[in-house]
Amino acid sequence: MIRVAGLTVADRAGRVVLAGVDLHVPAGATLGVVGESGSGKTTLVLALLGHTRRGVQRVAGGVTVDGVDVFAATDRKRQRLRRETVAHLGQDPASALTPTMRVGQLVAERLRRPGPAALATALGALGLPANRAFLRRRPGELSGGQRQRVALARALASDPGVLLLDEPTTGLDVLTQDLVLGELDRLRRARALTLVVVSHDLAAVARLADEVAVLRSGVVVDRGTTVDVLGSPIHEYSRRLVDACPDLATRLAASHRHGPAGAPAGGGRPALEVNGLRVAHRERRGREVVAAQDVSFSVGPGECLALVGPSGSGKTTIARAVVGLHRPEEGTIRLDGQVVAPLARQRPAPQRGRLQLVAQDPAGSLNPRRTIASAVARPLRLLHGLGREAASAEALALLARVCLEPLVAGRYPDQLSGGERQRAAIARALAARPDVLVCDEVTSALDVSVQATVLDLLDGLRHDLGLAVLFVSHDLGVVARVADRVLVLDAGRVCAQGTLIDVLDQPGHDTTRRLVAAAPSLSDAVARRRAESA
Amino acid sequence: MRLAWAAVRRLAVAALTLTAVSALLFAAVELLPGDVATHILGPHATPERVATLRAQLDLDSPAPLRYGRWLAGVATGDLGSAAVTGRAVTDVIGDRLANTAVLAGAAFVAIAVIAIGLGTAAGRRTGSPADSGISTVTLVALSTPEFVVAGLLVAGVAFGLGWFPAVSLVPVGTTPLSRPAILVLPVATLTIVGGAFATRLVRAVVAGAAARPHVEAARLAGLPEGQVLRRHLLPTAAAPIAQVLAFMVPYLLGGAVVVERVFSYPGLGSLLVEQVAARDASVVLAIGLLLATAVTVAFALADAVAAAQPARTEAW
Amino acid sequence: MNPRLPRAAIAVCLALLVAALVGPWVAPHGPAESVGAPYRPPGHGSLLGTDHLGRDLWSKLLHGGRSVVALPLAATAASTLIGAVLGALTASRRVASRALQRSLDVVVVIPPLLVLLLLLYGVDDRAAALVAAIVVVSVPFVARFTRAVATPVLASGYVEQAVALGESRAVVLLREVAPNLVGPVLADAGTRFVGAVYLAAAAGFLGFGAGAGDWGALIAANIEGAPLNPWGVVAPCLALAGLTASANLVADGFARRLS
Repeated sequence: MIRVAGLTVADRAGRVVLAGVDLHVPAGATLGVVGESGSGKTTLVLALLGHTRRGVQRVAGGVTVDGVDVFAATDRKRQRLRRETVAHLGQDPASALTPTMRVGQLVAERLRRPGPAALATALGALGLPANRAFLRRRPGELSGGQRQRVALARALASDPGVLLLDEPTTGLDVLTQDLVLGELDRLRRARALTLVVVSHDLAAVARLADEVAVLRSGVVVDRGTTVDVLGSPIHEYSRRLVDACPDLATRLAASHRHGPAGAPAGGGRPALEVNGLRVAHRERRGREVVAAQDVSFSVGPGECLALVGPSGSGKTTIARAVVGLHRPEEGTIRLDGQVVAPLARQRPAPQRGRLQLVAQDPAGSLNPRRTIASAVARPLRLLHGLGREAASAEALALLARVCLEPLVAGRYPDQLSGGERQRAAIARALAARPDVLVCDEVTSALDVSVQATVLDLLDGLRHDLGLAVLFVSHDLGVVARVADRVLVLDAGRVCAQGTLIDVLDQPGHDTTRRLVAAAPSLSDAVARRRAESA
Repeated sequence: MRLAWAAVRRLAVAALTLTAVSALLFAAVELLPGDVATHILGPHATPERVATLRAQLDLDSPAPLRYGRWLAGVATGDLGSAAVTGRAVTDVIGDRLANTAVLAGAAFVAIAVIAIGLGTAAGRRTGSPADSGISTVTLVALSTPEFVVAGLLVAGVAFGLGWFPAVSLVPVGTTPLSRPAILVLPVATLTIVGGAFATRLVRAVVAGAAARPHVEAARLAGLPEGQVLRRHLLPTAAAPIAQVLAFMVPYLLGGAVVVERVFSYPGLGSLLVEQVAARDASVVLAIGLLLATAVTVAFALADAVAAAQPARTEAW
Repeated sequence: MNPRLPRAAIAVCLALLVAALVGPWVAPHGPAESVGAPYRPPGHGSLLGTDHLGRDLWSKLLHGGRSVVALPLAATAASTLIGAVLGALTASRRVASRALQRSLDVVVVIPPLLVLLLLLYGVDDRAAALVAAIVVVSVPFVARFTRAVATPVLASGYVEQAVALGESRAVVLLREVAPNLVGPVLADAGTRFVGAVYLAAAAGFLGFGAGAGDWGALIAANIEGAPLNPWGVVAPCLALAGLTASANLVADGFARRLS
């Protein structure tokens, strides 16, 4: 069905994006392509449609889909192929829906034989209504989940034989991820589609594909069945990827065997104590939307408490309130026993640096017009009165502690990779000499292997500096790797709190149960496949 | 329906803005040294005669009072009388207004068509040969001042080829529409420079819209390019394109002054220049207010188009 | 876009700017000096021939650049500074922002030429009137643009962090926000400059130029004699067009590099 032969794609400067890729996907088969960012995954998927993004072009090799050479074909033939044979879902399919068009139009324009009956069928296959009111809605008037489904319905409306998925789970919260993957799997089986899914999410790929190819810097380095490559990897790179993949089930099992990781250093006063916190957002028209209420917890020095919950449960708002960037409506925050003012800028200078935040998007928290060294040195000069020389020296030391080479100091944020930026942000937070570090989804945007280094770093900091860490995340696998205790939030309220084992291993609360069940697990997916083929 | 509502709201705000503008214009005219009386009677007039004329022309009342009276007049449709000739301002302006409206209107339509057409062709695939060609041509066109274009057209087309008249005088009492040939060169002048400017702006807007994920998705979905442009790209670029077109209105009204001079076209622009020299407040105010009204309405409509757009889908 | 183009554009732009500013000092003849018969073609010691009064065109060209270039340059610099400060200040405060928006809307609505005409007859000094007109017309646009660029910067994480660390508002604006505004505002200033040159040239053409015999006035005066000596029209046209085209390219290239 799909045959890729010696495909080589390079950019104008001659840098190779894909090098001699060979793939064969027979009709009805499923292939997953895993790789980290920059491996060329998206370029590969687009090449299957005969499309290359601006700045890159095909240098050698070709792609044949259903007998059609996609690159040599005429525009019309290629359009026909894309309309009738192949369906493509990019990252964030919701944003691929034209905001000015109506649902009915969006799906109908992809139908082979337009008509109300066909439209109703296409929508019904995804559990969407086909009444006039719904058809007239625009994407902005749909819920997130509905948008996902409309995008899927649109892709499948033409009854294609091939489905291409590019990062189907990125940007989705855990519960939605689970739903979407389930949906995709069901549809694939029901229609006997040929499926190619590219992703950095190993668990998602394992769930959807029988065969897997590992892509590294444009080269296919490993290939085989999912059970082999992702279950018992032999190739060194594949092994690294699989090991770094955070997996709740594995971690819980390990915790059972070895006991809780990193027990908090002695009793005494908690480093951070929050009582009865209530935070809200003020809408434009003066309405108040409560993000979280009645939240109380404490974190001891050297301890890591994870805040988990589905999206919209108020995690980020709580994190920002704790650090003093968002004024809470009620509640007290105590730092080492002392009450602190609600807003950071109201706090006296010695207190200001003790609670620091590392946000999800390091690009937004590092000034693009400042060098890394300058950004890291600033808190040192401002809060601790260090002179220029001393601050500069300590900044370099901090960069070394987060495993960034000294060369990085003189660079600007856009010259760094995602992982380097995140580490620079951590260095900057450390420059304020905090007692408590609040991490808000710091690993969500990172590649699996880079994630591992950042988490190792946090472990080290807790151990060496006695830093207390409040770790906000929706990824239970990561949480299991790094946290001692867990707090589960649902719709702004605390529904479970306790050690990792207590909360996650035998989940008592409904929300926790849902989260644990939905948590992507590579080992589970592989085990299921083994069971199926056995 | 949404569009209509948004438009009404904005026009109401526009009315307020215009009132403020009229006050500003009035104040500006007040601050000019000298006044109509000295201008009419000349520099050698005796102070008594100036005083008499001033009283006759009601220039002695305090400014806010005169402004108030004038404003009341505007509301009822009476724009006062020209100080020099005594004719009603509405008469003085009447024909000229129609002429300028025809000139600017024709140029606006031409610019809109060219800008949207060429801008889309260039912006939908930046870097394509079409794009480079259009970008170069527009750059050359808009770097040439209107009077240069006018001069070249006069020299080349009027004198050289003899297709259209070099001078666009409109006999009093008739409209330019009765002799469309005289409109061609003035409109062409405005269209060439304004069209180039607008095309570049539209190109930038279209390029921005083409980079958005839903346009790439539409192309990858195998839809023919025409459909992608019509249904997926242009509607999402409608608001900024409307803004660009709205910006053309003050440009046209300003550029019209120069063009009217070159072609001796009897429009509001040349009248304005004369009347500012004559310091005739009522005519200057009336023209200023008319021009400002046209611009305000254009911006209000463009804003309404933006407001009527559906909210962007938020990312997860 | 061809990468060599912006470099060539910068060169042309600078050359013309220098020529316009330095011209009067290097011109071989004075602006009112008659050197021969009117509309004589190039030769006999005059590079471009003579104009309608028999004056050397090359000298007229060198003399005529200043008012059409220097004044718009100064006026644009002033407008950019004032507008940028206004825009940055109002980006942070919602109420002030609205007030600024409304008042700027009032000014934007008056056609630039009307502003210029009013000022020209109200103020004796033509140069001052031109500068004032350019400033009045440009500041609203610069302020709007700066506000649009500054708003996301003010909402960014690094500004928030700086405030949380205890930096004063002034320091934050200067050290964190301003460096992010410089690039886009300069690119926009290029476009403002071109608009200012247009206004100055149009004024000159209509006879209200700040300096006697500026490029616009030259074109107006020599149109009739074009068949005899086209250089009277072509030379100032090329100078004007060259300046605005290259300035546009430079501004374009700059803006592109930033995005």
